[in-house]
Amino acid sequence: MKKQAYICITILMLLSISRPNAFAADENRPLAQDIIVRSDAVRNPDIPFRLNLSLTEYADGSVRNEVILHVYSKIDQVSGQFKNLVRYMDPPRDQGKEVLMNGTTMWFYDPASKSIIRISPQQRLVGQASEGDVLTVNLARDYTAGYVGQDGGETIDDADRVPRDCWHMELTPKNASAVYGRVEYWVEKGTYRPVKGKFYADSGRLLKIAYYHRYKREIGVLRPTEIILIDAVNTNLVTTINSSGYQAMEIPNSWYQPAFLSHLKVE
Amino acid sequence: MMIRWVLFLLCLCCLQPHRLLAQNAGEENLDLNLIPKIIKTKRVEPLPAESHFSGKFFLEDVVTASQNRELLAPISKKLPSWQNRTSLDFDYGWQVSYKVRLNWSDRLNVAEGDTIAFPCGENLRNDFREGFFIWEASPRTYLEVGRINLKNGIALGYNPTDFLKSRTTVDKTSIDPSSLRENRLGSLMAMGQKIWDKGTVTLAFSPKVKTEGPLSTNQKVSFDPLFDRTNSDNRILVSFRYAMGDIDPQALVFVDHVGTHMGVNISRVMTSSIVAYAEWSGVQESSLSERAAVFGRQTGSLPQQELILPQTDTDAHFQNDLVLGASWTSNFNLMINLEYHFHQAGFDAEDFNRWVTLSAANSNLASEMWFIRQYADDQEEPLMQHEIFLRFDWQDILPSKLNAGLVMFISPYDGSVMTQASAQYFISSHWTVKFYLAKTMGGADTVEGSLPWSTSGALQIVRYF
Repeated sequence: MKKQAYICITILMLLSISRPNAFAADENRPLAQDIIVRSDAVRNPDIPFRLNLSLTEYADGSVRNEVILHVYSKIDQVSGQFKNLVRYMDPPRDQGKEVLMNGTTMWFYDPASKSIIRISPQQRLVGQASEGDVLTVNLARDYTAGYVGQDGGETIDDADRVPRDCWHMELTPKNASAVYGRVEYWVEKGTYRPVKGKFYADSGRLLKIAYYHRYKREIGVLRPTEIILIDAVNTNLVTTINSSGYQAMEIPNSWYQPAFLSHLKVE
Repeated sequence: MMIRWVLFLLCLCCLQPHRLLAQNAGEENLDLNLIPKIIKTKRVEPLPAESHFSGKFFLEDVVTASQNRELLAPISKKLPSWQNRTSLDFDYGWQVSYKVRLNWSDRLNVAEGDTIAFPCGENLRNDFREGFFIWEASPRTYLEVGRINLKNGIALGYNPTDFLKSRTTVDKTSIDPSSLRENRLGSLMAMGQKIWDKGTVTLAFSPKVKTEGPLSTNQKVSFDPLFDRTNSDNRILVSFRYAMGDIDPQALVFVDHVGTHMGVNISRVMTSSIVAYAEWSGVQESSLSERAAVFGRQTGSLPQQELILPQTDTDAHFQNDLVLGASWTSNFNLMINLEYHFHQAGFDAEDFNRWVTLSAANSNLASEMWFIRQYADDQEEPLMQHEIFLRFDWQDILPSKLNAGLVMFISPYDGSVMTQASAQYFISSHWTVKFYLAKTMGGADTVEGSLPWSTSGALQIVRYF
């Protein structure tokens, strides 16, 4: 009897300690990884595109800094991850600076010095709204998803305080491209729209909280056009990332060569 | 009985581990209280359409003060103790049509100081940096003609493969090579470039249009484009870059009056926070001091006869230049670059000691010594064969408001250091203020301690339009 109890406990412990179940699929509980794949498709077009981003930083409730960027993104056919070319349009001191990200290869171009400097993937994390938040990223490519809790369901309020019935997911890195050590992610059931994300460092420290809202139809799909990013380390710092001007366009692979950075032109 | 209770409690705990991961929904909604009300009520304005005329235009004022020291090898000219420079800086591009773009980059300076006479050419000086057109002949095939600032190399402290760097820097407010590059002159050239999915090939020809001029003097005409510095030789540069996975090598061949220079750049991501890089060039050429002597005689800066201290070796040898470096990025916005610089044509310890010791006793020798140092500076070459470079760049110390930096050139011969600390504060999106404090440390007979200035401070205010 004692032996059976030990076996029973061991099985229970193994079941509960093992990673959140990512494989049990039914209509109300799809494969966890599929939820992230479909959620990625809501956030990002699967065809090459450009968009404008307007970043506004708030400190203690007041606007402190504003940045305007143009982003050119397309999916790399080999890795399945997005390649990004980012150009700073504002503030005036940063006008014309560019960042190129192709996998773990990142380059920074400064038109004042004509320098093209190779930077480390860690650079994606620096700044209140870092390159990692600005760049188009397929979470499903970089993270393994699982449900949190036994049923994986949770109703939380979105940024407009509207209750949303969500799947509560946990994402853990599966390759070196992953920016964060762990992500908690809430995706609305049925629509696959991301509602909220919590992003953790490798140390387990909560870094950022993101709310996705203001859904508008862009390149054929309702997509979040505002992300509210709360700095979890200093909660007085909040950044909004507003996207606009989505435009499907042909982007040759040669645009993601460092030499092209000085040739990106106004279109 | 006790064991049963323990097992029961264990079961309960084990059944609920994932609940511990998440707060309940009610607690989760508390995060919404962190969103400022201003965000909830703000209106999202559409962004203005991008103009076909784009670039940067700013007004800058820099006031510099220096404290000079007693020198072992005396210098003949008076050293500045203060200077003020006000500059209008203009760097714009005009997309004339889909295939044609015009670029213009220029700086107009008004300067005054205790070593600048009034009126003289230095009071009002124009730096015509670039003026060229680009024609995209076919997709990603470019032809560029005009004055172009073509930079190569991936290191920060010294770029052996930046073959067109010599004599291009016209203003030295900072000792940071990254800042110096922001006001350097381009060369007249015709350049073709083809960019493929995996690589780039570049071919540039820069013609001789003027006879080589001497090192900078105060007699220059203010609006002289200084082609005698940038275009005093026929030069050809060919470079080829090919992306090989994580490695991104670039090979270069450069031909000038010295000979055929070969060069290679290579970089690789080692970990998510470390990038390693190497830059090498090699050419058959004379030593730095011999080249300085030849240049001095050709431009009339040095007497036609041999140097007072004869060269120990006037022959050309194959000379290597190498930079080995790495950058590390922390998770708190600090980036550190560490580089080792090898410049085979430079002074070794014996050369340096010989010049310094003898210069102290002979003013003509001292003049020669300072001429060679000035020549090395003008060529953007290290004086010595070995050098360590360290750079700290700490961004967002106060998020979006304050950056700080530290640059150090360390001589491994004697431990002397030339260093500069800087702090940059963004008052608003249009106003920036920056402060530099530079110091040379070491004895009077050391590489950096033998420089004429001991401490230098600069305050820079910039208004962007």
